Amino acid sequence: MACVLGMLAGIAPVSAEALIDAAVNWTYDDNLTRASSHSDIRADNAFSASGALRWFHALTEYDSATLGGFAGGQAYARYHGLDVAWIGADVAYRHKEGLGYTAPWLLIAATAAYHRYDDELRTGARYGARAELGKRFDERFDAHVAAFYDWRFAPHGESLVPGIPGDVFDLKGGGVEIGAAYAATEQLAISGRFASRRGDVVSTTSQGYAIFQASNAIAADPTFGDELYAYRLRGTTNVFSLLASWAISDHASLSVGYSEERTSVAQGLDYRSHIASVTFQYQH
Amino acid sequence: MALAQTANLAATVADSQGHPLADAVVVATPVDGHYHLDEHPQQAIVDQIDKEFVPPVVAVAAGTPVTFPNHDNVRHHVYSFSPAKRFELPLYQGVPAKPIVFDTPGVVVLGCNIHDWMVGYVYVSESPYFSKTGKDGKARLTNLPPGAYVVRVWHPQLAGTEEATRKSIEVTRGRGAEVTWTLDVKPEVRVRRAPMPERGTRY
Repeated sequence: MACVLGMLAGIAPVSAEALIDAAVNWTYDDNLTRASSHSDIRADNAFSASGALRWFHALTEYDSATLGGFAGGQAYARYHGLDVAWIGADVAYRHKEGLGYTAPWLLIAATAAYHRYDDELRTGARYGARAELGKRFDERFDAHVAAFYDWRFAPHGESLVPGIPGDVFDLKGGGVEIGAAYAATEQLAISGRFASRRGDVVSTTSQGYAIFQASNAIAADPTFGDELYAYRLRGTTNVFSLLASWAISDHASLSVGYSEERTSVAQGLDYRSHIASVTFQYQH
Repeated sequence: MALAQTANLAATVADSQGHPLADAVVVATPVDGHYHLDEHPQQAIVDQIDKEFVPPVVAVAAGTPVTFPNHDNVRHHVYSFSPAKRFELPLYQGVPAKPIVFDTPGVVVLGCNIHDWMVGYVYVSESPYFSKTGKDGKARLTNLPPGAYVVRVWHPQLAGTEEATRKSIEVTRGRGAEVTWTLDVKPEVRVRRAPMPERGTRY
């Protein structure tokens, strides 16, 4: 990435292309607590607004880099501890292996952001890295495979049990992803994605011996009331996502998404969550 | 040949629903094969504005030089893989020093290696008698010597072949000629430009 930044510094300003991105989104999540027991499951919906300003640099005929910043906020209808504002920066390097839209691409991207929640337990920095190989097969269809890694630093949360930390939202994990997109018509594009991530997850549940044994950090989680506690667990999450996106113009789209996340953890504490969303996005 | 001895051809192109079809190229070829291309044809221009080729379709006679000025404040990388003209204008802004000469008849599809959704067409005609339809689906071919012609039409979304549109007409002095096509067209398919959200997950 240092190499990319070095190349960016050597590019004349006139070669940079400013990209403005703005989005408003509605999301419904039927298992915000990521709990396995029905009595612990909490659902809610949220509105978010976000914006980004990025500079795209064509470094060579086949290489480009994008550098920029983004910010946004999300507010929940019931669980205001999840209300969050964020600000961050990202950088991406893209290489096309040849000429034309069917040329395969390699994308390497990194992001850093600070998320401030109403509930301090979740507040902290997040970092992500991603490497992606993709190819467009024709004007309508493209596909990619990717590997990613994420870190989340949230050094809050008081230790409730001697010897067991309380920083439950200090998380890291990584995984792989495959995805494809198909333009059914000039306006309508459908995309699908499967990702599998191995790493830390957080489940907020009532106290129990099994989850206590499986966890490596525990903290009170007042966002969901006094009876539920947040447990950091080690698990594997498989995510299936579908998105239908309607192009309103060359610069705007309205998209409807659905994803199902299935997380497997020790002690049979598996959980599922289903997320629906509607997003209006503008890019120029 | 004196202009008074020539005639005009009025062409109308519509899709199968009867809607006027813009950017259709109408070409008339004399059956006797007697025509001469201008040895010094006027230069044509394919501009780049707001990350699109403008106009999206340009019709030129074989041998015509075409310049590709970039009026965006970002660099473009124009290329073509088409057999009628393979070329590449690596990353540039402003006006390239040399125009590209399109000397082989055929359809040349243009792309930009930076902005994959950009697509444009240069139709290179072997005949000097051609024109492009406007928004009203009408094109006017002027200064045709009277005689027998084979006319045909091409459009980026044409469902069949250009050859299948061939018609024989007679252009007469004073009266000229009229020709009409109703074409089956495919939906426009190009790389999507509109944004799509990247869906993240919460763990």
